[in-house]
Amino acid sequence: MRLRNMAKYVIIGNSAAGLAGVKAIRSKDPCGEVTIISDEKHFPYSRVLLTHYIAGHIKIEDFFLEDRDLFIRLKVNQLLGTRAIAIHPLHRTVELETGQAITYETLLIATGGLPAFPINLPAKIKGITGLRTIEDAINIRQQAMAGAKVVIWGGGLVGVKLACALHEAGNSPEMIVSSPHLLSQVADDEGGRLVQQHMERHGLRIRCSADVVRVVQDSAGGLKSTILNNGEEIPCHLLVVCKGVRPNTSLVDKLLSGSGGIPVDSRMRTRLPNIYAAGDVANTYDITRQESCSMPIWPHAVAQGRTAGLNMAGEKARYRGSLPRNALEILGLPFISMGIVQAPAQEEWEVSIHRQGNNYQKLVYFQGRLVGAMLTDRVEPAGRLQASIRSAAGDWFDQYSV
Amino acid sequence: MLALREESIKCDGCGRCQLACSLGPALRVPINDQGIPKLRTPLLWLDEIEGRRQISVCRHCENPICVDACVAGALWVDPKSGMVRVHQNRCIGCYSCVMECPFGAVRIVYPVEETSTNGVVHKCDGCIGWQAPLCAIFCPTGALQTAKNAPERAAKRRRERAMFVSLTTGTVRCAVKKHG
Repeated sequence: MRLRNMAKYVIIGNSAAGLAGVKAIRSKDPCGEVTIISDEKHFPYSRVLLTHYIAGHIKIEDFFLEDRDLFIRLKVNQLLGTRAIAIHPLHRTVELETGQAITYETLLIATGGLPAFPINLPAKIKGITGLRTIEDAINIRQQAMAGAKVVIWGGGLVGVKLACALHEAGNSPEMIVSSPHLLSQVADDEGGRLVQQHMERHGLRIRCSADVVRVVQDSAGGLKSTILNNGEEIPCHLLVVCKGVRPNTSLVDKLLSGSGGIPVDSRMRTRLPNIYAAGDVANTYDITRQESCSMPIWPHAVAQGRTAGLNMAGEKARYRGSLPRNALEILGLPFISMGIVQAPAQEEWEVSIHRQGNNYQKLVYFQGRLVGAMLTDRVEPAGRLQASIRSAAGDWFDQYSV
Repeated sequence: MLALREESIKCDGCGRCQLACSLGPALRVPINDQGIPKLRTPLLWLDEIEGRRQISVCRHCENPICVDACVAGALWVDPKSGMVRVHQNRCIGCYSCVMECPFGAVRIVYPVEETSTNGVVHKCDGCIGWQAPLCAIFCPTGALQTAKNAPERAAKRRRERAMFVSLTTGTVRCAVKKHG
C-alpha cells in the first residue's frame, strides 16, 4: 500500500472493466479519491444477461453485478448519467457535458463499445434498434411480447442469442445473415451449419448470404418492412441490428490515432502519460494471432480492468493476454469456441476433427502448438484446452510494446 | 476443513469419490418414513484425457478465474472459508465458467426429471460441515488426499494462482519460472 496524499483516480465507464478497476484500486489504496463517470445512469450491470432477460430467465433486478451500496462502501464519487466529452492530457482534466472539469492523476478509459450500425440505414427510425443497454432489452421484450414481428440482422453471438431468447419468449423472429453460415467470426462452416440446423429444428427461420439493403416506413413513421438484396420484402415491426460492436473511442480520437480500439501495453497503459484503457475500448495482445486487436468479451474486460486498476494504484501487474473465446447455450446445445477455428490451407496448420451427431470437436494447431478449439454438445474439455492454448503461447510480455 | 490434494496418477477409476460425494448430504438428512433420500449429482468427475485419467475437482483457487468469468453473480468466494461457492438460483447456464476452469472442475448439469428448466452450475462445495472432504476419506489409492499442512496448502494454491490467474505480478512470475 502506498501512502500518497490525495491520489486522484478517475474512471470513465461503469461496466465490467470500470467496476473491476475501481475494486482493484480500492484493494491497494483505501484513501485516494476515486471518481466514476458514466453516461448510463444505471449501476454496473451485466450486458451478457440482456438476452436472458428477453427470454424471461431473469428479472431486471438480477442484472446488477453488485449491491447498490458498493460505491458508497468503497467511497467512490459517482457521476452516473453524466457524459464525459473530452480529455485534456496537458491539464490532466476530463471535461463533462455539464461544463465541469474533473482533475485526475491517473485516468482509466473504460467506455466500452457501441453497436456497429451499417451506414445504409437511416438513423433514428422508430423500430430500428441495437441490443446493448437495459433500455434496448426492455424495448425489445415489450414489443416481442406484444406480438411484433422481429427481424434480426446479423448472425453473430448477439444475433443468435437474441433469436433463441425471442423463441423462448414465444416470439418467432427471422434472422438475416450476410455470411454463408451462422457465427462466422467464431465458428467454421461445419460448426456454423450445425448450429443453424439445430436452431431450424426448433422452428427458427434463418436466411444466410442475405443482406438488408433498405427499410420501408409506414405512414405513421413506424417500420413496415425490410428489403433484402435479392429484392425480397420481409414485413417487420422491429429490426434489431446485431452487426457486432465497435470500440467507443470518441473521447480520444483526436489524441490517439489508430485503427479500432485504443492500443495498450501489458499493463494497460496507453501512449498518453497516466492514461489507461481497458475493456471493449482497448486493443490488447491476442496470444493466438500474435497481434494487437479489440476483443470485446466479458472475461477480458474484467481482467483488463483489474490490471489497469492495480497499476493505477502503483502496483506492477501484468495482463495475461487476450484469447478470443465465447461460450453459448443455444436452445439446449452448448457451444464453446476459442482462438483460431478456421485454419488456412497451409502446411504449418493442422486440424483434428471429431464429429458424432451434435457433438463436434475441432482442434487447430499451428506449427504443432494448439491455437484454437471449437466444441459443441460435449464441452467439458474446454477449460483444459484453454489452459493448453495459454501454456503453448508462452510468455509474450517481452516481445510486445505499444 | 482440510484441504484436498489430488494426484491423478494414482487413480484407478473406482469411482468411490463420486459415490461418497453424492452420498454426503443424504447422510445428514434425518431418515423418516419417506425412505432413503435421493442422492445428488456428484460434484467431481473422472475424465479420460489423451489416454490419461484425470480427476476433475475444484481446487478452490485463491483468485478463482471461474468467479471472474461469471456474468450472473452465481459463483462467489466465501470470505470465511475461502471456498468457491455457488448460488444455483442465480446461474443461467451460460457455460462461461466451464470454458475458464483449467481443472475441468465446473460443469453445467441439466435436471434429469424437469426437462424444461435450464442447466445450472455444479462444482465442489468443499464438504462444509464435515471434518474432511468425503471423497478423500473414501479414496482407496491415495489419489485424493487431505492435506493437513496449512502452509503447504497455501503454497500450492499460490502456485495454481500463478499459473492460471488473470494477472501475474513480477514476483509471482519468478515463482512460476522456478517451479518450471
